[in-house]
Amino acid sequence: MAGVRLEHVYKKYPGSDKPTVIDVNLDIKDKEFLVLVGPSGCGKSTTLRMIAGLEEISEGQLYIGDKLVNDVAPKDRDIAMVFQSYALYPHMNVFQNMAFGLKLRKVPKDEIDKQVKEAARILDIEHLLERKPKALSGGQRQRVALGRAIVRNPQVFLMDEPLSNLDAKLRGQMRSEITKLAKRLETTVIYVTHDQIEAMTMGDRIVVMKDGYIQQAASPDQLYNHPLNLFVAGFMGSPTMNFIHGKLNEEAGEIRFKTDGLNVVIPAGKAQALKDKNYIGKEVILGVRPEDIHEEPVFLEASPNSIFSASIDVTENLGHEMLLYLKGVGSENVIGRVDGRSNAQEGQNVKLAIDMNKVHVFDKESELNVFEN
Amino acid sequence: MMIEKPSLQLHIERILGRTLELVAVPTSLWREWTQSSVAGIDSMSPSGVVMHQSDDAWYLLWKQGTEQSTLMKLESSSLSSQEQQWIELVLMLEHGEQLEQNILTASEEQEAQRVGSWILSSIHERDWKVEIPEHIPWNKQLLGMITPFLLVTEHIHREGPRYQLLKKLVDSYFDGHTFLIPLSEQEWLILVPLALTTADLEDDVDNGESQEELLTSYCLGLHELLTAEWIGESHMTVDYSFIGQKGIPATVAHMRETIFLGRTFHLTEHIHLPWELHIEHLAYSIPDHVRAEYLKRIVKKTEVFHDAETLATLEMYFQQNCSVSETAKRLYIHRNTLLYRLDKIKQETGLDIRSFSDALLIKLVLLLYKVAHSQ
Repeated sequence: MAGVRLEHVYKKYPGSDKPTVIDVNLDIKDKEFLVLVGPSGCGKSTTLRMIAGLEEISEGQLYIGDKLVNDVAPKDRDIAMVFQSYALYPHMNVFQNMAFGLKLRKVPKDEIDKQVKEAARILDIEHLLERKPKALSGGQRQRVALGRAIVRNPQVFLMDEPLSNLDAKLRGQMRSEITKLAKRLETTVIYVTHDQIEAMTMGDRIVVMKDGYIQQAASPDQLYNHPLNLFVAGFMGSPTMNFIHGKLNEEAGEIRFKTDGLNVVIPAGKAQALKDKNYIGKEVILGVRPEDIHEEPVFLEASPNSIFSASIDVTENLGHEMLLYLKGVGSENVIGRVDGRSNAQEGQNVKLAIDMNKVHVFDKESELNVFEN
Repeated sequence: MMIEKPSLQLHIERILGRTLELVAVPTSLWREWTQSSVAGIDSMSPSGVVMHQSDDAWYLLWKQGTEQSTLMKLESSSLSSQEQQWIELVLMLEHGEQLEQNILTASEEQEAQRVGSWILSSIHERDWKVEIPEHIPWNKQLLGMITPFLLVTEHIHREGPRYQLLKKLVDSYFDGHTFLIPLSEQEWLILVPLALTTADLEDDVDNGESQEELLTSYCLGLHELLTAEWIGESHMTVDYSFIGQKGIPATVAHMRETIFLGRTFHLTEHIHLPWELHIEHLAYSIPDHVRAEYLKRIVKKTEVFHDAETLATLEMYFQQNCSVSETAKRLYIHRNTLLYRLDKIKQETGLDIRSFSDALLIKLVLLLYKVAHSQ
């Protein structure tokens, strides 16, 4: 197994005004599960394809292990790829599909047999080895595609949205299976997805990309709780973080965030940081995760400085939790996530409180998180 | 029996009583020297192991098949003719089997090149239905039904694909003899006898899988194989089976058109299928003046279609089968932002993408703009 290092990597297509990937620097550790995530067109797939050798690197260096591989052909990079389409060879059965790459490399027959059966056992597809792809379900096909990659015993696995073609239930199941598999094989995985849930649940580290730039590379926990900017804050989490536009003022020794329908006190530690960075008197964006909005009386009693009133526009009861779509705070809709047993009803006016220790403040111009930069 | 490289070198050095001068060259370069007449090379021995250049002779010391071939240099005048023949014989025995295979492949490649040249000249003459003449190789072997694939490579790493390697991959994939025909350095025609796929085809049609679906699977699989096992990026198409003797130029022209349309209209795709490009084909066949007049008539303001954000939004909207929520999710924008963008398009063009007939018109407009852009 090996790590992968990208140093100042750029990709610019002929005839396009702007590079698709801009100054990407990444040091992917051996055995790390790294997820590249971002909206369509952010450059995540292009980055993966450059690592695979399917796209030329316009500028910068790419190392697999300690070897510079900019000019090394895909077949000589010791990588295995699994794509969204997971195209299997239609006329070969599952065994032949998995064995084909080894056969081409003239691996002895008994060794091929051993490796294919071992991969099939890991993927729980031993009973399918004689079947042709057309007789397999989507999930089974995806396992065969994974098996084909596993038997090559590569230094690095590259996966480009491998679960996109599966239905939601199967996707959830395969998600955990791929994660378990990566741990078991102790291999380096670079995984591309547009789905933030996949990213959060699978990655040891997540790289969030937008417009060709890396926005932040960090652990799921770090990304969720300490986003560097507005984009990352909004991208990670569902429902997304609430962004409330307002102004910071100092009143009677307290720093308050004010907007229509909201007047809350910023806790001392955070307030000091805002003072130090000269944000008092300025327009900012307050970031509040839906789960940091509370309706429990105990919380309201303990947080008199962050109580606000709002009217419930819509409720969505998901059983274990209820989403409240609130009106009356600033100009935006605010979403609160409360206990599924809540009595909240549409049209009702409610009193809620924000856990101010968990809020973020973003600069209105640069959109950077004031507390993290 | 195969002798280890250092041992072979040692034996020759001991017999000749001197240290050999060795040089490593890319195997591809040696193969080029052996297969064609290259300026500066006086002659290549029929055995393929000795190359004469001025007063020197270069002997292929270590067998081909690896990235590098090792050659030893000897001054011709320093060896008797008998010594030279002995060394050549030893090396011929060493490389025998492989050289024989190379010679066979070289002659097959030359035949393939002749067929390729004939196809290109027939296309140039617009002689679509011409039969393969007697003097062109393989005219007897291509009498039956064959399934055609066209491969356009974009080899970004070092040398381009070698005939031998590509042929091996394609033959292995179909598990039988196929016909690989180079049309240019980057374009390869692959003709697969129907027998290699027929059993599955009949079986699958019976099972409700259409011929198109099965051909698509073959094409996807082959593309995947070439991507993973070869040198990377390529574009590929497949067409319906036909009688090889008769319609090769027409089929090649049709497949070239398919790849051209696919690359024009679907920039990020690598597999281009004729049965998925009907509307693109139609859009491309509209004469320039009719297209310009049509666009003028249905689009009030054209600027909106030059805006990158609008184009990306529309492309994604159609890709997601006109689903507002999926499009918003994929673009990572709020649903309301997407609705705002769609309203803006409506205001500026007079076309509401949420109505089927207007969506159809917008799709057509996008296609027509792509045609204009490609020209």
